[in-house]
Amino acid sequence: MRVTFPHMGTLHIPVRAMLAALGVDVVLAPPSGAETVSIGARHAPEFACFPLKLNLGNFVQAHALGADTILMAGGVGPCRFGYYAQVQREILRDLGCQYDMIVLEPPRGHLAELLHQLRELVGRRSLAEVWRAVGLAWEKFLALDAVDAAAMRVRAREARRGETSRAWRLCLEWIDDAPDRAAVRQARDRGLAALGRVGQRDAAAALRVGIVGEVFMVLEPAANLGVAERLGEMGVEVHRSVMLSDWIRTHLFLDALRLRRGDDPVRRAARPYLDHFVGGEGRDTVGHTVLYAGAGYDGVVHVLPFTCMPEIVAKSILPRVTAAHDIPVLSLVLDEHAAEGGVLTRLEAFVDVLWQRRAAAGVVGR
Amino acid sequence: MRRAGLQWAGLNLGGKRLARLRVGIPRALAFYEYFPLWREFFARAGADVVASPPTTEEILSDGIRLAVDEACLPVKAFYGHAHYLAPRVDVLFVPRLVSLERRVFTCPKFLGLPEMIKSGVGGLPPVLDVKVDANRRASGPFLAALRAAAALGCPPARAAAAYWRGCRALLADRARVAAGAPGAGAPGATRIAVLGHTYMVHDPVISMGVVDALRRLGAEVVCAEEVPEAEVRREAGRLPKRLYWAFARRTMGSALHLMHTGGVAGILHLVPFGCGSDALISDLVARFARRAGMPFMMLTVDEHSGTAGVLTRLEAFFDMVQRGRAG
Repeated sequence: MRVTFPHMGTLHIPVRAMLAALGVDVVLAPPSGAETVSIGARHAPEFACFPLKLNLGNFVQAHALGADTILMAGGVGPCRFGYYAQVQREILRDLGCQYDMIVLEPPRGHLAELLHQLRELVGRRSLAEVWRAVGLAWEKFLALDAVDAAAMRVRAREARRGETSRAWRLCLEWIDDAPDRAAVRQARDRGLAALGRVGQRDAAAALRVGIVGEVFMVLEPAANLGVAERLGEMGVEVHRSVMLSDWIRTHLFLDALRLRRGDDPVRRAARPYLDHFVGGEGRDTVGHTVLYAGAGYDGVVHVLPFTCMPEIVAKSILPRVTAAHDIPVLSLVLDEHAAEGGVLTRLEAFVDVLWQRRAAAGVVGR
Repeated sequence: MRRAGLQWAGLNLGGKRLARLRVGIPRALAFYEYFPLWREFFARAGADVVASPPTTEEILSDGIRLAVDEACLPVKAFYGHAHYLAPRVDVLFVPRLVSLERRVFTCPKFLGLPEMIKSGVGGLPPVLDVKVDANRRASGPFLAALRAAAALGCPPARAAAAYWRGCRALLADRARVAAGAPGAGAPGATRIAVLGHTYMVHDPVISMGVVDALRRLGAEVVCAEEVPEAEVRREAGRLPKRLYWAFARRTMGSALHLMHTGGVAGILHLVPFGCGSDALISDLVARFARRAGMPFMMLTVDEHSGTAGVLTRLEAFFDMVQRGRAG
C-alpha cells in the first residue's frame, strides 16, 4: 500500500511524518503548480471549486509516481468538500487511475468506524506508537505555524526582497527533517533565529492586512497565487485568519466532534451580520473580518474559490461589515483562470488605497 | 445549546393588525416547493398573502444588479422578487430553510438567504426569517411555523390548525403533480427528462423556456417531481456516500431511476450558472449516463444565455436522441 494525500500548504510535512512513524509507505505528489492546475482543470467538472481540481491534479501526479491509495477527509455538508472524494473516485476511475480511497468521515457520535478505517491504514499498532506519531505531527504543525507567522512579520520589512522566503524554505526543510519532538523544537528555534537574522529596513510602520476566506485558499500558495508572500513583499504585515494548526484543531477535531463552544469569539463577532452556519468557513470569514477591524488592521483580503457556496454568502454580507466597521475588504475570486499579473495589480491598488487611508487619517506609525 | 420552547419574538409591525397584514412571498427558490403550504398557512393564520408575479426580464435584471456576481441565477432572481415586493407588502417572508429532513441540507445559500437579502436589497419591510432545521428539535417545521405565526401576532392554536391545513394543501398539490404525469403526450412521442431544481425548471424566464421549447419540438417532457419519492431515495441510496443536499438527491435519484427503467429516451440536466451542488452532481450523472448508454446533456444557463443558442443545442440534442431511437 503506497499512500498519497492532497497538498494544502505545508500540510504534507506533519502528515507524512505521522504516517511514516506508523510505518505507512507515503508517496507525495510534487508540490501543486501549473501542471497540477492544468490536470485538475482538464478532468474536473468546470464549475467545481478550485480545491477539488488541485486535489485531483495531485492524485493523478501521485499515481504516476506509484501511489495506489488515497487518504482524504470527508464531511457531512452542506459544503461541497464532503463530496469531493466521491466525485474524484469516479473521475479517476474513468481516467484509468487505479486507486483505493480511504475517506475519513467525521464520526457521528461513535468513533468505531473512524478507528476501523485508521486501523485499515496503519495496521495494528500499540497505543504508545500512535501517540508518539500524533505527537510528532502536532509538534510539527505548531512549529510550522510559528515560523510561518514569524516569516509574515519579518517579510514586511525585509531589506533584500526574497530573503525571508529563502530563510523560511530552509525552516521547512529543518522541520521536515526533524525525527522527534525535541528535534522539531530545535528546528523551530533555529528557524526563528534564522528569520531573525533577515536584514530589516528601518522599522517604518508597515500596513497590517488580515487574510480571510476558505481554508484551502488561505493556506495553499498554488491556489491563492502566493497572496501572503506578494503582500509581504509590498511591505505589508500579513496575518492569516486560519493557520494550519487552527484548522486541524477547530475543523478536523472540535467541529467534527461538535465540541466548539457556542460563544466562540469568531462566531460572536459574526453574530450581528450572520448568525447561522452556512457550511465551510462562511461564518468564520465574516467573524474574522469583524475581529480584524476591531484589532486595528488596515484591511482584509478575502480569498475564495470561484463558485464556492459558503464564501459567496460571506461575500454578499461583507459589504455590511465594511460599512459598519470602516474596514476595506478585497475579495479575490480565484480558479485556474486567475492570472498572476491581474491579481498582483489588484493587490498593489489595494495596498495603495490602504496607504492613502492611513495618510488621510493622519496616523503615523502604530 | 438547545433551547427548548418557543421564542415569542414579535416583529415590529408599526401597530398593524394581523388581519390587514400583507405577507410577501418571493416567487423564487423554495417558492416552487412549498408555496401551496405557505399560502394556505398564512391565509388561515389571518394574513393577506401577496406572491410576486412570475419572473420578468425586469425582475431578473433588478436581481442581477443587487446580488453579488458569483451568486447563482435563481438566487439573483430571488433578490429581484424581494426587491419587487419590498414596497408592496408589510412583511417579507424569507425563511431560512436549513434542512427539512435530518442530515439533509438545502444549500449554503438557502442558509444565509435572510442575511444576503438584508444586506443586498434596500427599503425592505420587516423580514420574517424564521428558521426551519429538522436537525434540531426546537426548530423543526411545525415549531418554526408556530414561531412565524407568533411573530405576526397569531395565537398558537390557530397557527397549529393553519399549519395542518397548509400541509394538506401541499400534499394535495404534490399528488396532483404526480398524477398528471405519465401517459400524457402523443403516442410514440420521444420522452425526454428535464431534471434540475424546481425553481429552475418551472421558472420560464430563468429556464429560458426549455420545457416549452422541447414540447414544440414534439417531445414529451418528464420532470423529476414525477418520479416517486420512494424511487428517488432508493436509487440515490445506492451511492457509496449519502447525498446531503435535498435537491441534488432528487436529481441524482430520478436520473438513476430513469436510466435503469429506461422510461425516457434522453436526459437533460438544466443547471443554473454558479450552482455548487449541480456542478458536482451533473458530472456524476453524466458519467453514470455514459456507462448506462443513456443520452445526456447538461445545459447551463446564466443571465447572458441567448435563447437562440439554447434552442440550437436543444434541437441538436433532440435530433441525436431521435436518431438513437430510430437506429
